[in-house]
This record gives sequence, structure tokens and C-alpha cells, in this order.
Amino acid sequence: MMTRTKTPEPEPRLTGHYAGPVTRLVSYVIDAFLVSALFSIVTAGLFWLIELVTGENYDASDAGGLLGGIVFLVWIFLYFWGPMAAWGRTLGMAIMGLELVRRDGERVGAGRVAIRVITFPISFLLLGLGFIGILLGREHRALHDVFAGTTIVYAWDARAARLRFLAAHRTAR
Amino acid sequence: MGPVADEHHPKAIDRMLGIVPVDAVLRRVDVQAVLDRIDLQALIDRVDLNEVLAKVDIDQLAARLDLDALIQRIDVNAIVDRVDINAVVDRVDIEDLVARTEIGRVIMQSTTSIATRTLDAARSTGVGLDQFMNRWVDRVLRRPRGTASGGPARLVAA
Repeated sequence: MMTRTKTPEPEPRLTGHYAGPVTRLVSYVIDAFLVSALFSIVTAGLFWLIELVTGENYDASDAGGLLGGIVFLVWIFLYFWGPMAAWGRTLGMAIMGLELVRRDGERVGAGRVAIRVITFPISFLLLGLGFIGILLGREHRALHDVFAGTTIVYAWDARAARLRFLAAHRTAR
Repeated sequence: MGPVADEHHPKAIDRMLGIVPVDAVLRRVDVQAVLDRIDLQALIDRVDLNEVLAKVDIDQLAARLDLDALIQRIDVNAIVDRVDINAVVDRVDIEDLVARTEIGRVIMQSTTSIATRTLDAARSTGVGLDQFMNRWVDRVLRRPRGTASGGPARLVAA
């Protein structure tokens, strides 16, 4: 017998509300995976192109640990800063339907996003205590959100999702 | 003298009417007083309307109606102008409509792919778990229910 998994009904009234810890954690995990995976793919592609042009074999370790580390940090910065400055969300946030906004709900600017990305490691450095606000705070803001004056909200079209949900259950009958 | 007298003595009555100045008599009759004495309600009660209606040919009556002319005299725009469409739409329960009608099937076929459904499910599950966590945190911190700030006023009000 086939069983249907129970999915909660999409809740349109929560759009614009502060995003909770689970959704934010999942979006971060997706971003952490993507930032590394894309870096590997891009560097592999670049080295392949260099080998193709020069005809010599290169390895990532040839670039040096320090340089490689700096390039990776710049890559991380660009991965998070670029999409958030342009669209208010990273890929992981887009998948989970989240958006970065100013604390008053206005669209966030590139400067605030830069502050948020640069201060993000501070939340890690304090034994992860910088993230405790996401779990315990009423506005679910991490330390880097406080520095940048930002917050993260649900921003997906839950109304359309709810109609799709109802339609799916109607057709499944 | 009644009808029996009329039948047996028609000539006598004719002679009598010839003598009486009928016009002069009629002029002296108070018609209003006569009408006042008529009990119209009682008269109507004695009429069997069903019997009258049974004799009416509705089809024939309808056939004689010029419906086109009638409709042309109606200002549909004026009627529509008086209808508050927004109020009507507000009263429609869209979700119930989708759940109960073929519109749901149309939405499913036109907009839903596996990826969309997966995303919807992932997001809904995430929100559900968020709320679960929030409830536990509120309970542990002994926050009264309903004190959560929701979201930035600009977004929540919108």
C-alpha cells in the first residue's frame, strides 16, 4: 500500500515574517555546499583551460596555500555578497524562500550586505554564540544581522503554493 | 317582478319602460354611492384565479413578448456600474473554489512541476519546523503566547 507523506499546508499569512532557525540553517547548509562545489568546478575548469592553452600540467596546490586560501575567501565573499546585493538572497535562501531585508523591511543595499558578509565569521568565532539570537531572539537575528541592521524574512509565494497544495489534494482524490 | 315576469309579460315591461324617462332616472343615480356599496374584496374572493390562469396560454403570451426590445431598453452598463465587483470577489472563497472544482486540476496541469512541488514541500516543512522550534523556545523562556513580533511592520502590514 502506498502512503502519502504529510506535508504541512503552506501558510500565506507568514510571508514577510521573521524566518525561523530551521529554514535558515537549511539555507545555510545549501549555500555552504554550493559555495564549495562551485569553487571546485570553477577552479577545475580554469586549470583545465590553462593546461589547454599552455600545454603544461598544473595543480591547485601549485598556486600556494595562502594564495589559494585568499582566492577561496574572495570567492566566498562574492558568492554571498553578489546575489544578496542584487536580489536580497543567495541560492540557498532562494531555494528555501527567504529574503534579506533591512530591519525596517526595506530592501537591503550593497553596503549593508558587505558588512553582513564580512562580520559573518565573528558569529562563528564566539563559539557560535553569534547565532544564538536566531534561535532565541524574537526577530531571529544573528550577530552579523545586528552589525548590518538586517533581518531575514519568509518571502516565497505561499499563497500560490497553498492553491497548488489544495489543487494537488483535489486531483489526488 | 323577476325574470319569470319578464318571460310572461314582455310587452308590459316594454310599455312601462317606454313611459319611464330612463335618462332622467339615470342622471339622478348617485354612481359613487352605488360603487361604495360594492364589496370588491368579496367579489375578488369569489373569483377562482386558478381557473382563470388555467385558461391563459402562457406560451402564447410569451411568444408575443418582444424580448429583444425589452433587453435593449435595459442599460446593462448602468447595472454593472452599480455592482461592487471587488466586494463580490472578496466574498468568493478562492481556496474552497480550487479545492472543490476543476480549477484545481487546471492549476495543477498548468503550473505545477515536480520541482515546484518539491520546493513547496521543502519550504512548508521548513516553516512548520520553524514554528515548532519557536513554540518550544517560547515555552522554555516562559514567554506568553502571542507575543511574537511577527515581522518588520512594513512587510507584515502589507
